[in-house]
Amino acid sequence: MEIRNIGKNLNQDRVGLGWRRELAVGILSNLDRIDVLEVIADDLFDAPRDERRALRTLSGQTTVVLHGVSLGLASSVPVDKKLLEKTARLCEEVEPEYWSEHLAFVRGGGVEIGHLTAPPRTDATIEGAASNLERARALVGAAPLVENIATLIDPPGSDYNEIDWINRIINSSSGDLLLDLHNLYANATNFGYDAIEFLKRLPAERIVAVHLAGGKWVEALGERRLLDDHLHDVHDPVYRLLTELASLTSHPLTVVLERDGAYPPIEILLRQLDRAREALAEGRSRQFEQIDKETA
Amino acid sequence: MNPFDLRGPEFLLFYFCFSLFVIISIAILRRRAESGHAPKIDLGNPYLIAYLRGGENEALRVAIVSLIDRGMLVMNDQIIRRADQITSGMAKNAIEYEVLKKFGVSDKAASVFKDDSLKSVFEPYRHELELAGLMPDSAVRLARLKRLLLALTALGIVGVIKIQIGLSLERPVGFLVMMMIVAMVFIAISSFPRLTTRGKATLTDITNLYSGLRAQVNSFSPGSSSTELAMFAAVFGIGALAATPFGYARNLFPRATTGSSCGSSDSSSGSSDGGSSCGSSSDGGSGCGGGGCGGCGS
Repeated sequence: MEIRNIGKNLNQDRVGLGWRRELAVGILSNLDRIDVLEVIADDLFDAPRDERRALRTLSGQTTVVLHGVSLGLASSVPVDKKLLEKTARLCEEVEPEYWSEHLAFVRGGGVEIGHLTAPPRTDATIEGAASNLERARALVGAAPLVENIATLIDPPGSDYNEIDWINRIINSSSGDLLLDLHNLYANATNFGYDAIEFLKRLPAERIVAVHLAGGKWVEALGERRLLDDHLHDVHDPVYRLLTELASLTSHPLTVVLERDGAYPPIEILLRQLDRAREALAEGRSRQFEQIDKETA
Repeated sequence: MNPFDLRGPEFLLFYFCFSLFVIISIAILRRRAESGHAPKIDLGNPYLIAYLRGGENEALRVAIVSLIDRGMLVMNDQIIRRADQITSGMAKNAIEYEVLKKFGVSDKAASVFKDDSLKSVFEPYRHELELAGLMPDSAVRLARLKRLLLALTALGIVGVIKIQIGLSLERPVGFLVMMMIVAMVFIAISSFPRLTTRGKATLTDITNLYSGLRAQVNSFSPGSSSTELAMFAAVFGIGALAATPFGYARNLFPRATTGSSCGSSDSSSGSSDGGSSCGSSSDGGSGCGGGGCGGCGS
């Protein structure tokens, strides 16, 4: 199987959308405005062969990437070999440009949580994640990009803060980072830290893809929290983070807008893609201005 | 054992099996020669997809239903006319232009199928699909013809030798002649499907990609979901609109509900008023298990 690692090979930033059947007409009618499609891998693991082959046809029309939600990489428990084999088979069939998974755990003690959950940020989960990433790389043929997740509670039993925990995992593995800017924004908002400072402490050269999404305010444990629900439009601060990120990275980025329900007309989603392109362009020009200043 | 030494009924059984072998071999050879991954085509063009699925007539049906939904054509039972204030210049593409032009004068919807001037607008579609390997071009047709001649030769040589032996021994050969003719006609018909193997597979893939429309069609509002309606009709056929808010399409093209293709049409003409009709099936899921990712942090 050939999975090309993006970022290093791209000529320019790309902006795309999560593939959802409900949006098929809007997406396939506007492929000239959508550079990349992200397909949820888990939906296809046990799908009929025809359905998986259709995704191969889709990848012949535009760039397709796969996104997993059920491996549970950030765990001291080894990731399920069968799931990795299914991922490998799907990568073989669909030929995505890359695949990605979350830095989360989804099961423990034989119990499926049914949810992406932030694990305790400890040496054990750092080592577990690094080991799982290596296992995934060996079985699938390419390491996944790993994605930061949103959480409504700070994981109890943690020895590290989120940024140190992510950096240690990235540094001890071959997987690059899929940075979810809404998750970053939500966590920063919910736990009172500066999202831009967080961004600046990440290894910019290892960030190759970005997720954008929307969320809503909820009451949790008597406090107001921002919930990452993928049902709302992207908030303005998330675009500002994208601009900041583009000013920090020198290589092209692949940006994917995630929307999982309450679908608006496709034109509204396309406008959000345009806005993401503008945010990227602004960040790039800021970077060039900085370079000009330094050389002058 | 020499098969030509077989007695009449035994040889007929042998010839039947031999014919089956030839037919299956030719089908396998064709499949191997014409398969492959779908190339890049415009999956957002309902007329291209309708043309791929059912030919010119199916694309014309989709165009008429789409134009009615957009208020550009007016329907009175099976009679269609261009709406007031609408000109053919307001069409989005050549197919719609020609259909609007034709219905400047009231006529039955099905009259479009007899209008030869409309056929030329599909030439670019046919060319695009041939280039993509989804419909047979001249090279593919020639390869098919060669395989057919090979098969006919094989069937013919075996049959004729036995007929000569039978005639020399003054045995009846009528059943063998009939079997030869049936086998040859069958193989001739099945050697020239309208689509290539790749075309059939791509059509199935397109049906899969658009399967979410099945669950959505009843929520489409007439006049405000024209793009989705056109795509639904293109992918699943006018017949599939029967039990939807767009059931009028069934009155316009009553015969369109009787056929069936469901993404695997292999008919050779596409020129009759028989269309497609696909039963509904369950909808595919979506990201994060088909619902929202509510709070999953993905």
